[in-house]
Amino acid sequence: MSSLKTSPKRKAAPEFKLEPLFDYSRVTPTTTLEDSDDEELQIIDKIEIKSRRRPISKPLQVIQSNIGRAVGTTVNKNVEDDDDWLTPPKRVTVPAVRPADPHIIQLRQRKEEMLKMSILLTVEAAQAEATAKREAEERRAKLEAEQRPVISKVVENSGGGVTSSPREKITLQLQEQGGKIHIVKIYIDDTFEKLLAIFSEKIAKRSSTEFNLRFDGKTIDLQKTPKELELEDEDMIEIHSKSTQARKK
Amino acid sequence: MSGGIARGRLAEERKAWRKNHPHGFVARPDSGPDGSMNLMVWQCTLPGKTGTDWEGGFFPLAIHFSEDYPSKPPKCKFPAGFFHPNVYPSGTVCLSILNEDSGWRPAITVKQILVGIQELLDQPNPADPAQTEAYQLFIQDPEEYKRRVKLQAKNYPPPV
Repeated sequence: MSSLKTSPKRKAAPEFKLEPLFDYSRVTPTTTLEDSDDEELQIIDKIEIKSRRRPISKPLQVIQSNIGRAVGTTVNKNVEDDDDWLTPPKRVTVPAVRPADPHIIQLRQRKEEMLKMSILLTVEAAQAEATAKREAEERRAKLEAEQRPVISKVVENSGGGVTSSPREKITLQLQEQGGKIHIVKIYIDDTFEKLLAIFSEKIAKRSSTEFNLRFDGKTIDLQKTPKELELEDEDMIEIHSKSTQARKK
Repeated sequence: MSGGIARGRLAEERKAWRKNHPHGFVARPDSGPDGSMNLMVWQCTLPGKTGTDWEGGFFPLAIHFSEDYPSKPPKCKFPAGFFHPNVYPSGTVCLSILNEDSGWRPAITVKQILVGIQELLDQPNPADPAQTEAYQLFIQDPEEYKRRVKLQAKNYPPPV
């Protein structure tokens, strides 16, 4: 055996070179190892696919028990085949030199740990994703709740800002007597009374009773809405001051 | 075909007017008793310019567009007997930009017409009279002319 081991050094003898290729100590262990590795690899593949699709804690336990069983059976086989491992050719291929590889067992254990870790990580990632989503939704809901009362009032001189909301909005131009134009956004089914109240409070700083709204030369009924008057986006509404009219008369 | 062009242009004019027009002015297509809209005739109101004798008056004006609009100008009419040197007894306004042979250009908008007529109210053109009564008073008796203008403004109060 010692001569065989050192054979690679002697290049002159070709007969020695051929033999080591069929030496059991070299050939059989590798095949068995590959077989067992493949089995586990297949299991791992399945597990990983499962864990990706359903990142729940339940599959984790199932997988663990599977692995435990697999390891246990291999160890048992080793013990059984210890006595006569050369006589039946069949057994040679299957059990092989398992006891000689504590290293592999260690590796398997590590692999197992890694597997657990990866599953835990995927589960954690899924949980983190879920919580992040939930938080984002909560934040959005909060923001919307905060913004809604502001938007429903006046967005002055903004013009282009589009806000998604279930109620349809309309952009109107309020023209003062001096020609000054205010762009306002209101809900299409809000009354003109509300529009005028916002204008007199925020822009004119005077009582809303001092003003008239007019469209197409007709005074607008303040109980009506832009929808009822079939107003369109960016239509111009005139503000007329009642006091100056009275003075003129 | 030309009628299609006229209507198309008038629809655009109306759209533009809704979105922007000078304060106090009104310009809307005639609507029949059934609510249908006649784009070829517009009922307008133009306010007397502030700081003039015409202030406080809101003067009704009808604009009649032809099928040849906008290659030909529309006809603008105040009520018959309107007191102004450049308005015919029938009420038709005599203004250079409304004359096919002088100032009219197809690009002139309804807004420009109305603002142009508002200018004309306080700045009549004595070189081109259209009625004798207002013209003679304007030339011979400015005080009486002024009184008549103010009286007319009162007769056209703001719409309520």
